[in-house]
Amino acid sequence: MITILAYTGYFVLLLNLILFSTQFFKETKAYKIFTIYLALSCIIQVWAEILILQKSSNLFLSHFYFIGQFILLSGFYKQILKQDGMQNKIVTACFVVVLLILGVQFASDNTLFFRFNLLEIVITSIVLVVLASFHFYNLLNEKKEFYYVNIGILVYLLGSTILFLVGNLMTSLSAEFNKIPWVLNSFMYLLYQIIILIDWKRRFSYNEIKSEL
Amino acid sequence: MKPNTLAENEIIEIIIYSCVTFILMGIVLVLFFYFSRKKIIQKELEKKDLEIQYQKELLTAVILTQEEERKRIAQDLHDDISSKLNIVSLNSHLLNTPKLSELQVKEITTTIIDLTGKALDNSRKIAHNLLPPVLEKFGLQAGIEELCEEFSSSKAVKVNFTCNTSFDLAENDRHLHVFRILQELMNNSLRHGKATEINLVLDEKNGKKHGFYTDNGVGFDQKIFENQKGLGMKNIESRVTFLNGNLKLQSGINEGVKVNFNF
Repeated sequence: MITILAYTGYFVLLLNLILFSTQFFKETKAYKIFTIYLALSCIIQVWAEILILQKSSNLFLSHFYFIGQFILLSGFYKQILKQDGMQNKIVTACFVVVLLILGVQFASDNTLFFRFNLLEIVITSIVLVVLASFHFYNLLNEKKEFYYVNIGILVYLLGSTILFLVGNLMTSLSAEFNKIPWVLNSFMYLLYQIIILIDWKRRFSYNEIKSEL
Repeated sequence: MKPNTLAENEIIEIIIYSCVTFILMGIVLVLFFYFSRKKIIQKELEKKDLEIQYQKELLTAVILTQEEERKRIAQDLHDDISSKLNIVSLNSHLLNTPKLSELQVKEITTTIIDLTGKALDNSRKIAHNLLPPVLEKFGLQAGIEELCEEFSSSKAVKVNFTCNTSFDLAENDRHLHVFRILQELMNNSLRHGKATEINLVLDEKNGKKHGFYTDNGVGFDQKIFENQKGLGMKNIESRVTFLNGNLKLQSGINEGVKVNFNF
C-alpha cells in the first residue's frame, strides 16, 4: 500500500518534471525556478531510494530537502510577488534571517545533521506559508498565475510540517504503527504533485487559447 | 524500542514546536483574512466612487442639455415668432393713423395676415420639434417613419427603416426616449458622420425590443471617443439606462457607426 502510493507520487513528480522541462526555455524566471525545485525533489527522492537500497540512513537528506525547498521556493515567490514594495522586502529579509539562524544552529550542534531538525522544519515551512498567503492576497484581484501550485504548496506544507515535526517520535514507535504517518505523507505528496500537474495543464491550455486569439 | 524510551525533553520539544507552528499558522490565517477583507472593501469603495462619479457626469450632462434646449427654444421663439409679431404690432399701429387710403389699408392688412400666418406656422413647427404630435397620437412606429421621412427629404441622406415589431401606445412615455435616441443618432450621423445612408431595424426577441442602427459615415476612433463623450452621447446613454436597456457602440475611422441597443 505505502509503496504503491509513494511510487505513484514519485511517478507524478517525474511526469511534472518532464512536462515543466519541455517549456523551460520559453517561460518566465519563476517557472524556471519552480522547475529546478521539481528537479531537486526528484534528485533527493532518487538519492533516498539509493541509500535505502544500501541500507544506510538517509535522514540527513531531509536537511537538503527542507533547505533546498526553502531556498528555491523563496526565489520562486520573490519572482511572482510584486517586484517593488513591502512583500518583496519581506521575502529577502526572511530568506536572510532563516538561513542565518540555521547556519548558526548547525555550526553550534553537529549532531543535528543525523535527525530531524525541528527548528529548521518549522521556520522554513512557516515562512513559505506566509509567502504563499502573500501570493493568495495578490491573486484576489489579479490574473490567477500559479494558482494551483500555490494551493498545493500551502496545503502540503501545512500537512507535512506536522508529520515531520513528530518524525523523531516515529522512530521510537513499534514497527506496526510507524509506517502510518508515512502513508499519510505519501498520500499528501501525491495530491501535491497532482495539483502541480493540473496547474501545468491549465497554464499550457491557457497559452494555447492565447496564441489562437 | 518503546515510546517511553524517548527522552522526555525531546517529547516536550516536539510538543512546543507543534504548538508554536499551529499558533503561527493560525496567525498567518487571521492576518490573511484581515488584509483580504480590507482589500476587498477598498476595491468596493473605489467601485462605488466610480459609480458616483459617473452619475455626477450624467447629471451634469442632463442639466447642460436642458440649458442648451432652453437656449434653442428661446432662439426659435425670438427669431421666428417675436420678430414677426413685432412687425404685426407695428403694422396694427399704422392702421390707427388717420387719413389712410383704402389701398394702404389693404396693403397693411395683407402684411398682417401674411405675417400672422407665418408666425402661426412657425409656432406649429417649434411645437412639432419639441414633441412630434404623430408620436403621441399614432405611436413610435409612425413617429420614426415621420422622422425618417424628414431626414430623407433633406436629400443629403437616405434612411431605410424596417420595423418587425409593434409598439403599445400605453408605453409611449418609454417610446419617447427611443425616439429621442434615434433622433440624436441620426443628427450625429448627418452632422458629424456626413453619412449618406442610414439603416435602422427594430426587432423583438424574448420579449425585449432591439434596435440595430448603422450608417456609412466617416466614423470615429473608438479609443479616443471613450474618453471624450459628447453631450448627445451621454444623453443617449442615460436614456438607455433609464429604459433598463443596454447600448453597444462600434465604430472605426471610415467604417461608419454601428449601434445596438435594447429596451
